[in-house]
Amino acid sequence: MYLRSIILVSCLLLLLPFPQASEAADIVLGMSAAFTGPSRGLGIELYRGTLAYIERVNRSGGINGRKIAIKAYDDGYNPVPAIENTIRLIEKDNVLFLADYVGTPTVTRILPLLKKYSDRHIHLFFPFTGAQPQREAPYNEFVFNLRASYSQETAGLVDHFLKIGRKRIAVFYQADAYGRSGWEGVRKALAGHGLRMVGEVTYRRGTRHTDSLREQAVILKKAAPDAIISIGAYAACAAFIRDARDEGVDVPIANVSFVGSESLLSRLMEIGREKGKDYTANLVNSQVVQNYDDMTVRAVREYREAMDAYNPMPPLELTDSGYEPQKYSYVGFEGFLNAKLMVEVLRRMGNNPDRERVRGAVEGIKDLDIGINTRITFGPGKHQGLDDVYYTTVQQGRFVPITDWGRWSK
Amino acid sequence: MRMSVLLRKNLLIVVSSLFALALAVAAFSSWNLYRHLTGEYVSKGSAVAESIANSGIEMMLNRDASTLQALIDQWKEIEGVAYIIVVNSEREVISHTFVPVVPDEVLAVETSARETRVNKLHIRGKGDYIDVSAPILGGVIGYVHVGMDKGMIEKGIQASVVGQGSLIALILAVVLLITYLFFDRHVDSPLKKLTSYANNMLAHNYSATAGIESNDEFKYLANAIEQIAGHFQRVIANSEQTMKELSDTAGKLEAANARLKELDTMKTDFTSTVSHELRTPLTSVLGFAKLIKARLNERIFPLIGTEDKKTEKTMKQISGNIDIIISEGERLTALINDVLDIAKMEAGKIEWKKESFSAREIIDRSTAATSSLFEQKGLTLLKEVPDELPMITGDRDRLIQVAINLLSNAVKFTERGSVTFRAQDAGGEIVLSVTDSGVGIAPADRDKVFEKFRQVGNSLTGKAKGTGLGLPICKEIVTHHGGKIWVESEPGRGSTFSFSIPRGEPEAAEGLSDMDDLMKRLREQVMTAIPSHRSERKKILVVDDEPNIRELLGQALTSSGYDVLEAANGIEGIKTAKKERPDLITLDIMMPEMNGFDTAVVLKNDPQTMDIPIIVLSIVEDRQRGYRIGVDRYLSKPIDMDALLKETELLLQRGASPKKFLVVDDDEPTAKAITAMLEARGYSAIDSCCGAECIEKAASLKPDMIIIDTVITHRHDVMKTLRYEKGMENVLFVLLGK
Ligand SMILES: Nc1ncnc2c1ncn2[C@@H]1O[C@H](COP(=O)(O)OP(=O)(O)OP(=O)(O)O)[C@@H](O)[C@H]1O
Ligand SMILES: [Mg+2]
Repeated sequence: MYLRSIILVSCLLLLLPFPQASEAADIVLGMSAAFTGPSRGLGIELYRGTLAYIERVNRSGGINGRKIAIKAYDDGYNPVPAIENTIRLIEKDNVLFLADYVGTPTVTRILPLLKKYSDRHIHLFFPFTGAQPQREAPYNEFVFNLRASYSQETAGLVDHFLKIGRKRIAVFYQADAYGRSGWEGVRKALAGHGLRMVGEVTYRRGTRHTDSLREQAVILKKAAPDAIISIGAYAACAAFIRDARDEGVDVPIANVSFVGSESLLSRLMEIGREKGKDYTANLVNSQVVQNYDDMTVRAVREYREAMDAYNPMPPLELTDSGYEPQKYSYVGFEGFLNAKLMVEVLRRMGNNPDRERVRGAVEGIKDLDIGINTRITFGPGKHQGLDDVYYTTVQQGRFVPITDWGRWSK
Repeated sequence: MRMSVLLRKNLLIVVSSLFALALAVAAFSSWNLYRHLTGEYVSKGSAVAESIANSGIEMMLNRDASTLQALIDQWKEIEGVAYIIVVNSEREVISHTFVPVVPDEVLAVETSARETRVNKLHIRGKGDYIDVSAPILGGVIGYVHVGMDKGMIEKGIQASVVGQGSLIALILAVVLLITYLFFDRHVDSPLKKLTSYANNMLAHNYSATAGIESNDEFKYLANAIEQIAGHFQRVIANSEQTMKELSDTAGKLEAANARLKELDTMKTDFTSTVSHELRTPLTSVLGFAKLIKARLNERIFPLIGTEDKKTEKTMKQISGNIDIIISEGERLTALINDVLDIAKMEAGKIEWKKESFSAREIIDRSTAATSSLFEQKGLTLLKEVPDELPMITGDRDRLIQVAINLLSNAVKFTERGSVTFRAQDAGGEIVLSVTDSGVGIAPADRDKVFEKFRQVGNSLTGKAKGTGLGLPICKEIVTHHGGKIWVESEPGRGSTFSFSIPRGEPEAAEGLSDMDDLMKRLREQVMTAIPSHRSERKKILVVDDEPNIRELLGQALTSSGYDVLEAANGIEGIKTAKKERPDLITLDIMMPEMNGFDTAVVLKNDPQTMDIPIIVLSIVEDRQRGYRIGVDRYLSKPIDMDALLKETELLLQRGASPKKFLVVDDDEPTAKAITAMLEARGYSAIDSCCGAECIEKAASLKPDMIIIDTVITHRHDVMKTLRYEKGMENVLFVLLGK
C-alpha cells in the first residue's frame, strides 16, 4: 500500500511541470530521503539546509549562468522506495549525481545500483549516514562522504564514557543495517579496551514516539548499565528515553548524529509537557558538524543568514502535513555544508559539468576551506571529507557542546 | 409459506450429508496443503540460508556487520521468512533480525558443519518455526539460521479453508435451493394439497377435490382418497338416517322409562299409604282384642261360674276366638310391616345403621329369638361356629332379622330331622348358612324364592304360611351390606340358605355413636341403680288424632295404674300439658293442625313443659329427628304395649328427663363426639377432660348424669369423691370402657 501510493505520487509528480526543472535548470541533482513518516524531520531539514545554499548560489547567477535544481523523492526511510527512486533519478531524471540521501538501510541497499550504473558514472554525494558499507570496498569508489562515520562517533562516545568510569555499556539499536553499524562500532570500540557490551536490545524501524518501548527499557534495566548508547531514529529514541526514564534508568543515554538532535528534543519536550516530567536530562548527542550557535564560525553565519533569508521548504507534494520546521539544526547545517562542497565541485567542472568528470573534480579538492574549523581534502581512496565528532548535551532546552564530562563520572 | 415437515427433514438430510462431505474435503485438502506448504517452506528456507551462507563468506571475512545486516534484512522480506540470524564460529551473534532480543531457543538449535539442517523450533511467546541452519564455509566462519514462520503456513491453510468453505457453502446453498424448489413443486405442494383435502374431509366436507394435476403417485393417492370420500359420503348419509331412527326410538324409550319410574314411585307410595291406612285400624283391632282378652280373663271370667258346662264351653270359645283375632291380627301386622319394609327398601327410604359388632351376636340373638319355634316343632338346632369370629360393620338388627328369617323358614319347611347353623370366616367375609333336612326346593324354583310374593311349591297341599316377603327382604338387607345370599338344595333332602357379609373395619368410637345403644345402657343403669317404687298415681297425656288409639292407650295405661289425659292434636296437647302438667306424654307424629315433631319442639322449649318426658309413638320412622328435638323415647306403631309400659315406667321413675350430662373423657375427640351427640338429642352436655376438672364442674353444675371413662375413674377416684364427699348421691354414673 505504502509503496504503491509512493509510486503513484511519484508518477504524478513526473507528469507535473516542475519550476526548477523547466526554468532552464541546467544542473539537476537527485535526492531520495524520508519526507514522510517518523523520520521525515531528517529528510526535510537536510533538504532545507542544502537548498538554502543552492538558493543563494542560484540567486547570485548560478554556476556559469546555470542554475542548480534538486530533484527530490520521498522514500519514507525504506529501502525499496529508495531503490526505485534511485533508478528513476538515474534513468529518467538524468541527474548529474545523487545527493543528500538519508539513512543507512536505504543507502546500503542502493549501493549495488551505483556499481551497476558505473558505466554511467553515477556518484552519491554526502549521504546522511555514518555506516561503513559506503565507506568500504567495493562501493566506496562511488560514494563521497563529508561526515565522520558511526564507528568514529561510537568509538568517541565509548572512549569518553570509559574515561569517566562508565564501563558497563549497553546498546539500544534499530534492527537494521543502521543499528547494526552503530552496534558494530560500539562492539569494536569496547573490544579495543577488552570489554563487551553488558546488554543489547533492538527495536523495529518505523517505531513512532507514541509507541511503547517499555519492553526494551526493562531488558536494558536488568543489565544495569553505566551508560546506554542509542543507535536510532529520533521518534524511537524519544520513546525509548521516555520509557527508560520511567523505568528508573537514569544513566546517561547517548545518541549518534543521525538522530537529528533538534527533532529528538522537540519530541522529548512534547512528551515532557504531556507527562509533566523532564526527559532531557543526562543526554549526550554526538554531532558530526560544529555547533550552529557558534557565530565565530563563518559557515554558521552564512547558514543562519541563508536560512533567515530564504527559509526554503520542500515541495508540498513530497511531505505530509503538520511538520513544524526547525529554525536551525545540526542536520540542516550539515545539508548546508554538503551544498557548499557540491557547488564547489560543480564550479570545478566548469561550463559543462558531466557525470564522467565528477569523480575527478571531487578527488581534486585539497585543503579546501568551506568556512569551518577543518579544511577538506579528497583524493583517490579518500572519499570522506571530515573526521570530527562533537559532543553535545541539553542545557536550557538546547543542545550545547559538552565542556565537562566529569559531571557524569562514576 | 411454511415448509412441510417432510421437506424440512429431507433438506436436513441433504444439508448434513453435504456438510459432512465438505468437512471431509476441507480436512483432507488442508492436510495436503499443510504438507505441501511445509515442504515449500523448508526448501525456501534452505535456499535463503544457503545463499546467505555463500555471500556471507566474503562479508564476514572482509566487510562490516551492517552490510551483512542489509543483506539479511533483504532476505527477510521474502514471504514466510520470520527471522535470520548469523553467528560466528564462537557462536557470537553477528547479525540478526530479532526485536527486542535474540531468543535463547534459537542459539540452542543444533547445527551441522557439513549440511543444511532443518529443525522444528518453538520460541516462547512467539510461536512455532522451522529453523533452517546452513554452515558458512563448513562452519569455520559461522552459521546462518533462517526461521520459517509456521503461523504463515497456518494462515495460508486458513485462507484456503475459508476459500474452500465459502465455495462449498455456495454450492450447498444452490443445491439446497434446487432441492427446495423441486420438493416444493413435486412433493411439498401436492402433500399440502392432500393435507388440506384430508382436513376438509375431517370437517365433513366431502365434496371438495384434491386438485392435484401431476401424473404421479400423488395423483393416484388423491384419486384413492377421493374415492374413499365418496364412499364415506354414502355411508354417512345412511348412518344419518339410522341415527335419526335410533334417536326417535330412544326418545320413545325415555318417555316410557319416565312413565315406568313414575309408576314405580306411585306403586311405592301406594304401598306405604295402604300399609299405613291398614296399620292404624289394625292397631286398634289388635289392641282392643288384647284388652278384651285381658279384661275377660281378669274381670269377666272370674265372675262367671265354671259349674255350667255350657257356659264354660262358651267362655272357652270366646277366649279361643279372641286368640284367633289376636294371632291373625299379628300375622296381618307382620305382613303389613314386611310389605312396608320391602317397599321402603326398594325406594331407598330406609334408615340403615352403621355399627360395629361381633358376628357372634347375630348367631346368638337369632337362635334365641327362634328357640321357641324349634321347641314347638320338636326340632333340634345344631351350631357349627368357630371360637373366633371377626367384627362386622352394619345394621345389627337387620342382619339378625335375616338370620331369624332363614331359621324360621328352615323350621317352617322341615318336619323331621335337624337344622344346622354354620358360621365360617372366609377371609374377607363371613358366611352364615342354615341347613335343614326338609322338603327342599326344586332347581327351577331356586332363583324364584328371592322374588317378592313367591312362595314356591304347592300352595294347595303345603300350607303356605307367610307372605313370601321374607327372602326378598333378606336379599335387600344382605345386598345393602355388600354381601350375597344364595340357596343350595336337593328336593326332598333339604336346603342350605347362606349369606355372606364382608368383614368390616371397626370404626372409631363406633360403639358409642349409636344413641340407642347408649340409651339402652343408661336404662340398664337406671334399672339397677334405683329400686322400683311408685309413690303416687302419675298423669300421662296421650296425644293422638286417632280416637281409637287414644281409647286403646287410655285403657291400657289406666289398667296399669296411671291417670290418662287425652288430646286430639298438637295444639290441644300443648294446652293440656301446660294446664295439667302431666308426668309423661305420648305423642303421635302424623296429626292434623300441628304434627308431633312441632309439638315436641314447643314442649321441649317451654320452661313449663320441658321437663316432661315424651315418648313418640308413630309409624313415621324418623328417630334421628325426634332425638334431635329432645324426645325421650321413639317407639313405632303398631304399638308394642309391653315395651310402651316398660319405657313409661322407666321414664317416670327417673323423674324429670335427665337434662344435664357431664361427659368426662381424656380423649378429647371422643368427649366432643359424645357431647355433640347428646346435644343433638336435646340434652345439655358439658365435656370436661380430666378428673379434677370433672369434680369442680360436677359440684357447680349438679348434672343428672355423668358419663365417664373408666380409665379416669381408676386414676382419680372421681366416683368416690363425688358420691360421698360432695353429697351427690343421686347422680347417675355411666362408665364407658374402651
Ligand atoms: N328352608 C326352606 N325349605 C324349603 N323351601 C323353602 C325354604 N325356605 C324358603 N322356602 C320357599 O321359599 C318361599 C319363600 O320364602 P319366604 O321366606 O320369602 O316366604 P315365606 O316364608 O313363605 O313367608 P314369610 O314372608 O312369612 O317369610 C317359601 O314360601 C318356600 O316355598
Ligand atoms: Mg319366611
